[in-house]
Amino acid sequence: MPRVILGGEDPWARKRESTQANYAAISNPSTVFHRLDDRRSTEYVRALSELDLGPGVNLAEVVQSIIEKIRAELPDIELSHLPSGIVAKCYLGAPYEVHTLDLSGNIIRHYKTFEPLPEHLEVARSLALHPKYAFIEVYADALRAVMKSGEVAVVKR
Amino acid sequence: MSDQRIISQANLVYIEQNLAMLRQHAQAMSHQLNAVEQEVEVTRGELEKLISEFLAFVREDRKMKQLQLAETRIVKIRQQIEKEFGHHDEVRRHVLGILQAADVQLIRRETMKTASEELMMAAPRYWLAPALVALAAWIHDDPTLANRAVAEALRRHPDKTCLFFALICRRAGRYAASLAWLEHYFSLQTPKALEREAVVLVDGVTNGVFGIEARARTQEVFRHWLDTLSQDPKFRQKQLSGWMKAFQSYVRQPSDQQFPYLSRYSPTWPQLQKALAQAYLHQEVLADFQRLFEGPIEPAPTLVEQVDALLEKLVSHFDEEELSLRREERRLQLIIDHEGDVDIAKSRFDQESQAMQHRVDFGELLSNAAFHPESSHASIATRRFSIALSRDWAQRAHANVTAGYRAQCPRSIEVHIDDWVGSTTDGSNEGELIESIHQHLDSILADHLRKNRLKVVDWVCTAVGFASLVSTIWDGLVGVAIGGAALIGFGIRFARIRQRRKSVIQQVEQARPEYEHALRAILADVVEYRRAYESADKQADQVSEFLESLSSTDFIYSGFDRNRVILT
Repeated sequence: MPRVILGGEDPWARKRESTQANYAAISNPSTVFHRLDDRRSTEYVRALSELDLGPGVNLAEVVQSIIEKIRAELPDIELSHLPSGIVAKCYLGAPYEVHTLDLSGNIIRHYKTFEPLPEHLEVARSLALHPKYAFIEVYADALRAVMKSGEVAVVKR
Repeated sequence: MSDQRIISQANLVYIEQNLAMLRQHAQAMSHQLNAVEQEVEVTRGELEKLISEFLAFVREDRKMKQLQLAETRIVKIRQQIEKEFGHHDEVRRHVLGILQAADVQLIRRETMKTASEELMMAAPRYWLAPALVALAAWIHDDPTLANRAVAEALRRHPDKTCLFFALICRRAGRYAASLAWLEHYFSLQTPKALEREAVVLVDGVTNGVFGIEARARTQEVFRHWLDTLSQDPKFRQKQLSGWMKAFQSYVRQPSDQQFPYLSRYSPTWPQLQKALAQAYLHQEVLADFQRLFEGPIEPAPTLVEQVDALLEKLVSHFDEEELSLRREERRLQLIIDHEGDVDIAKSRFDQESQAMQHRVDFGELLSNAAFHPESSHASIATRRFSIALSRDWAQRAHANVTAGYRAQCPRSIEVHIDDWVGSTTDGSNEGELIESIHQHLDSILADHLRKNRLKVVDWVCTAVGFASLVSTIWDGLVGVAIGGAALIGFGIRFARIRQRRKSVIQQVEQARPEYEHALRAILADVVEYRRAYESADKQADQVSEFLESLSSTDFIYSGFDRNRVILT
């Protein structure tokens, strides 16, 4: 796998651009779904890994910016096929354990240990707590665990 | 008054004696019940042992019968293969015989020609017969006959003929001709439907049989095939599923005995067991892959021997007419290999049957070579190359399988000891759970004591009894009888309730240390489980690193080339 050595261009950027260009022209739904399994960009992973927001941050702006980043990362995916939520490990410290971004309600919320998540997001909790994954995208039919490297692991539901 | 005192004293003695007798009877009955219970337990144990021994006997008997049946049938199948396709074997033997005889110039050209022509007549429809005639004609320098025979062989089976002559030309050191045959072979192929013998081509590349130019061209074609196939989402999905299934086949179920208390007291155990079984797959995969990739592969001493081995493989294992009989032979052989265990043999055969399909796509060809080397006839070098070439799918499939069990592994582990229910994540909340157990037992005790106390009816009986005895002053014997009966009833109930309360308290107090002991053992199992799971799960990174380190070009042998490749 190519790595960025001493800075420079993201080695996957070109491949991703060409893949996105290819997919933009394809209307086959199964192809679109496979697009979701492709590697995520470094900027996207970084943006979605920084939801540990302290006080004094305008949440509405943050949510809007994240939604824009998701749209930019997956431009060829219809709104109905985008994730319904994001779950990630919370680094605010005890008693907080995970936080969620519910894209249907545009809300970021932090949850304490043993505090249940909304039903459609609870399934992603165990994965979100695993140190290997930066965050989990929750879809109607699958979970996509995004690693810090941008690689995506798919768990069918 | 004096009569009343005498009757009263006599009745009390009588009541006491009866109560004592009742107690003795109850104790005797209790002993008898205990003895019967013990005997029932012993009988049940013996019966279970007998049942398990009987079932084991039935299983063994069934296996023996299946083994005998398979041994008999395989002989019949081999006889049928011999009867229907025995002449194919003769042609096959002649191919290598003629080549090796020509090498040492030990037989006359006429003999060679006659033998090949006789076989042509003996093996109608078989592609190798005209190929053999062409070979003999080529050796004794008869281009007209050679061309006609090659044309017939190409008509009968173009793919095999191309590969056959590519290998023959390579054996003779005719690089350009070998490459030309390969190019013709490639022009006939579609990566979505390759015939099984394409594995010989991969074997040729990985074992260094083809020359530098042919090898580079073949690798280019492989890359093109993979790129073409990867455009199809269905193919990507199929490859991914195939690799996920392959990784799942490494899952081994951990024994219940590894965590005896957890398996006995936790309803979460089946999920925990499943997650651990899947986490263990990394060490199995790593060990298997390391075994496969470790150590050098001993190439054949000479190029000629290497090519001959491939020629033998090409002509021996891939004829479609024989496929159904060969499949049956393989199925029976698996039953024999597994000593009559039809279920294991069937599961193994189902896995392998993909490798015995007539046509496969290039991805399947690589997967079959990687996981079913016996039925796909792939060499170790080809197995290594196939896995390395499928690295991207393998990595994705491994990541998916790993994320799958990580998502399923329960965080909270439920524990049931009789009616008590508790939960833990990592076994660290022992104090809290012990407190919960005592609260639970206290509530059970309180509940039982509440149920086993004198009720209003008892006190009414007592009051009636005393009232009746007092009333004997006026009513005589009737009052004595009613009062005596009421008091006897009260006495019996009082003694029984007192006994029960004592027994309940005793049972609950006995249960406290037992519950605590069971809980501590369960929590120790939980700690051990989490440790084992984390340790097994961490090995996922090693598998990822191992797969990452694979490069298909590292698994191509070039020892037979005398020329150096100059990279510019």
